[in-house]
Amino acid sequence: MGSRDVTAGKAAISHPRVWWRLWRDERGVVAIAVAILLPVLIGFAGLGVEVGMWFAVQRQNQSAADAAAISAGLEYAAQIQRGVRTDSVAATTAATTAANCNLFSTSSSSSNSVCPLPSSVSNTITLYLCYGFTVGSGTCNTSSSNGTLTAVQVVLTQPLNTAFANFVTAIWGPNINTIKVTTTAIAAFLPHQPPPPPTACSLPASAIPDNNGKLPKCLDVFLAL
Amino acid sequence: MITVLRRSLRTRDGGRDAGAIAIEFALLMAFMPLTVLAFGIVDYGEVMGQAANLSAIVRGAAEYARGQVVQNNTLPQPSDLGTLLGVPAVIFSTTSFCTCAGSTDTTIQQNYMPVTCGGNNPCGATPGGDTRVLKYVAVSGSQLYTPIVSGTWSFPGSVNSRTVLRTQ
Repeated sequence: MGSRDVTAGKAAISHPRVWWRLWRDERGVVAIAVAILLPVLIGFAGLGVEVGMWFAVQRQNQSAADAAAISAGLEYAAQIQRGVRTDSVAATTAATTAANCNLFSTSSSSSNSVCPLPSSVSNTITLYLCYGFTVGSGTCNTSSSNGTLTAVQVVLTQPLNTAFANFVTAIWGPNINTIKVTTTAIAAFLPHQPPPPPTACSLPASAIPDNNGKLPKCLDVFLAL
Repeated sequence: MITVLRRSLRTRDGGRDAGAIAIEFALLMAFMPLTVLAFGIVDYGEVMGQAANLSAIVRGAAEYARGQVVQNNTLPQPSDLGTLLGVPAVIFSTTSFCTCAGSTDTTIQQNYMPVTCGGNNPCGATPGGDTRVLKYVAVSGSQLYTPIVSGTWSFPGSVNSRTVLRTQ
């Protein structure tokens, strides 16, 4: 036994038979397999959890986008009813307030007097005016040549930093550091049914609402996408 | 005789593999925490699924409440929502709140400030011409959750969701 060890030791590096014997030797294989597969196993479990989180955020943001679209739609409907020029600042503020109330942070959400939230500079809320929108089409034509203003589209974007996805994609590159969760909602405003009296939809800009602060019913605002 | 047997065992391959079983058993023991991890993943999926389900339920309840306020100016009772949607396990709460309309004039301090709903228009004194009251309904829902692996992970005891919709 001693002489065999000496022989193997002399030719350990150069002798091809030693390498062949090492290749065929099955001892310790399980330890190597575990060492290789354990990080992969945990990595993919983490990736599954992380992707699940993305979809949870998207689900939450969709509620915020819907509420923001309704709020912006109500604001535009009031402006149309009162015959004033469409004020995108007021509509954006209304949409932002509604989004904040549904847990979507924005750059100014900490100063929201109704639903304060910690501010997030990277989250954005964008409004698009839809002209000649038809319910069911699902597309927002932003050119005024398509008809009258009948809907508003709200787009929320939230970048999320990745951890496991960054690690996994780094293997083949380019690695993904952040993903952007985007949610969209469209609120349409169409004439109220039964048709309102003409005076309800052509109010002066200085029209005084009723005791509850409501204007006469002129347009119905509803989610169209 | 015993000496012969011992020598025989020592020279056979079975004698060389004797320690391998112990090593592989030790590796298997190292995998035991992975079983807990697997249950934790199942729990996580269950929590996420229940949260998504509750979110949809509360969203539906908020849409219903909004419709009731727009049509009848009445806020539904929380117990009515559970019965209506067929989810007695969900604990609802409903509230409404109002703000004055916003204005592009930044000197006006009343922009979107909370006011009391109902009664005489509380935004009537707002300068800037826009005396509308913006009314919102808020519906919250809560549902208890018991994880499979109790106490191992810090899972919440309940899942919650809240939806706020503007009505006017």
